[in-house]
Amino acid sequence: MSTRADGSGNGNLVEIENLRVWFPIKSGIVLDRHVGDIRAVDDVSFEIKRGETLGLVGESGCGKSTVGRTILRLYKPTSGRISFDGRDISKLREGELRPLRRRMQMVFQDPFASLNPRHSVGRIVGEPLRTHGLANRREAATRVRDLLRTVGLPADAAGRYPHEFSGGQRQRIGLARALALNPDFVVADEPVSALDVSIQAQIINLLEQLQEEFDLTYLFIAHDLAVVRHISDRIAVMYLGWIVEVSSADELYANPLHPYTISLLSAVPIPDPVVERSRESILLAGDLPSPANPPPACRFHTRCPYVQPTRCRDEVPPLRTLGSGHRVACHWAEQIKEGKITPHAVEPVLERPRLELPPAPPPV
Amino acid sequence: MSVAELEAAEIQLEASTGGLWSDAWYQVIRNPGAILGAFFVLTFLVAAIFAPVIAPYGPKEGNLLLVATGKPPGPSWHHLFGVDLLGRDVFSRILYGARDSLMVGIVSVSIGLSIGLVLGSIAGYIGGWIDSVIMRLMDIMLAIPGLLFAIGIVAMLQPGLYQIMIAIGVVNVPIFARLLRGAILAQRENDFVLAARAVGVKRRAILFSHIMPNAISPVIVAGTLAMGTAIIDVAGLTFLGLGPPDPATPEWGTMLTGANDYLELAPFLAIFPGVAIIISVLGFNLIGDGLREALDPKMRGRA
Repeated sequence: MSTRADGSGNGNLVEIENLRVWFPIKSGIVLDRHVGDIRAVDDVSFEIKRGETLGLVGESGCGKSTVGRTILRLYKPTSGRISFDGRDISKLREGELRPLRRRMQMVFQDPFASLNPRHSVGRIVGEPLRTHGLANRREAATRVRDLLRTVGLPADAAGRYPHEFSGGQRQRIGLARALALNPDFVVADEPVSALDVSIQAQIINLLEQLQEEFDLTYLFIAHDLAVVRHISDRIAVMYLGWIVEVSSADELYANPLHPYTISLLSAVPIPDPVVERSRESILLAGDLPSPANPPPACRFHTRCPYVQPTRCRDEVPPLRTLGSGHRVACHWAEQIKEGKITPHAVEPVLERPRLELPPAPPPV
Repeated sequence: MSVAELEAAEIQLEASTGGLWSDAWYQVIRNPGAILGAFFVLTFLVAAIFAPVIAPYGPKEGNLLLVATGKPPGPSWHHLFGVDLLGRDVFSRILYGARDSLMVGIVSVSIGLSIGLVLGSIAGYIGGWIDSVIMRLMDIMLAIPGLLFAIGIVAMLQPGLYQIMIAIGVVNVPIFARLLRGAILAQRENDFVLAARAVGVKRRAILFSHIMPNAISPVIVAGTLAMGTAIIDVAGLTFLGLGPPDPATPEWGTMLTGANDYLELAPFLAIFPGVAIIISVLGFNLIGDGLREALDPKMRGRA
């Protein structure tokens, strides 16, 4: 494990507090007018311990990729604090970030889009080394060969181009690039969801093996709960820009507390026909609401099968700690757990595609 | 690892830098269309360079005795393409005319391409209000019909061949700027650009090593196609009387203008310069098409 520069000894490599990432919506022909915000990430806090894998799950469009990219400062946070190894990096400029980039890297979802088709594999994997001036030409060539071998590719891959490789092989190239700088922290943004199931297992195993070998800390973003359970130590569940539940992986699967997590888990097929037929699965009604205009109070209340007449629609649920390290953002978590509240049918709310625009200014 | 293995690895890294262009070259020389196009263009290039050697007569020297009957004689062994109304050899004039036509094509496209590339990359990569200002300016330029715009510029600068080159170059600027901006915008959001940022590659290096090489190929193709159009535009502008002030200057467009009134009497006067224009334009277009295929990275290794 790398040196602990923070000296705080709290064991957290990454801490984010009240992180907000809002993307402005602009319209106008000549001058762009600010008409609203996409609240991709809204008031998110969590921490990632050294050496652990934190799984981040949620539907498409819930802001999980944005969280990952903002931690790497590929996006600028609107507000909030991101600390990496005890240092606040949320306001650093690009030049100040550059030395830190050696320590945090990313693996992308789409292995076809994440490699420049015009660069050879040797150039792609060697680019981080050249960028940081870490190796001369000869050393870089050796290092590239070593990296390719580490991720299970033949050394002669260096002279070939990305399109000559399959999806799984390309993902290995992406991994080799991420490992080139010997990082402490890797954001894996759905690294297997674009791959065939047979290849997924290989890449997951490779990720685990690399974690052990290089003392890596992962933020593993995914929507496939089975994959996340396998690789994660702890899991954070995201819904519409919010963290709704955080807990250790086993605890979350055994004992989900948030209605959203409960319905997600009930949708995972169980490979046992007897259990599968007898259990009840909860189907969520309606679409994910627009992050430009999220529902007030609890954001899940429009689709929640446990929604109650009080509190849900007018009081924001804080992320509370229940039991050992199990945090949940639901007013009724205890009652749901005890079975006092049961799921009921929800009238699907159709999402209006248009934005709520501010009233037009009066004519001058 | 042995020294030999190290060398081999080094060569692999080395080879990767020039790979795109050597591969593209390999593709182009196997594309029959592109070869035919290159053949046409090279033929005219040789004709232009060696015109004084090849041409049997001077471009301005006329033998009025040949047209004493009032009807210019058609093609013959002495005058391959016939003679014009002033007794000048059409074949020689077409050879000399290739000089101006090719030069106009290359120079005007270079002017348009260089200004367009700078404006397009600034607009596309920097974005914001700079992008808005540049692109609205380009929209204004595009709103004026190309030939009319060129006529206006030439009229402002006085008629002449260099003025025509400038005019056609300026007319082409918004086309290249727009094309490059669009391609840069499309590439800028690519994951591999994000990956380069995550690695810490500097902005300028991202633009030149990741975005530009992927964004430039449509512009290069458009450039070769624009050379063909430029030749037609020159012919059009000189046809309208905005060409070189010396009417004896051999130029394909001027030759077409001269033939205008005698189409029935001596159609070959229009046919030969017309065919020269068509073949040179076709040549550039075929090269452009070949390049487009060769520069597509997905086409690699499928020769």
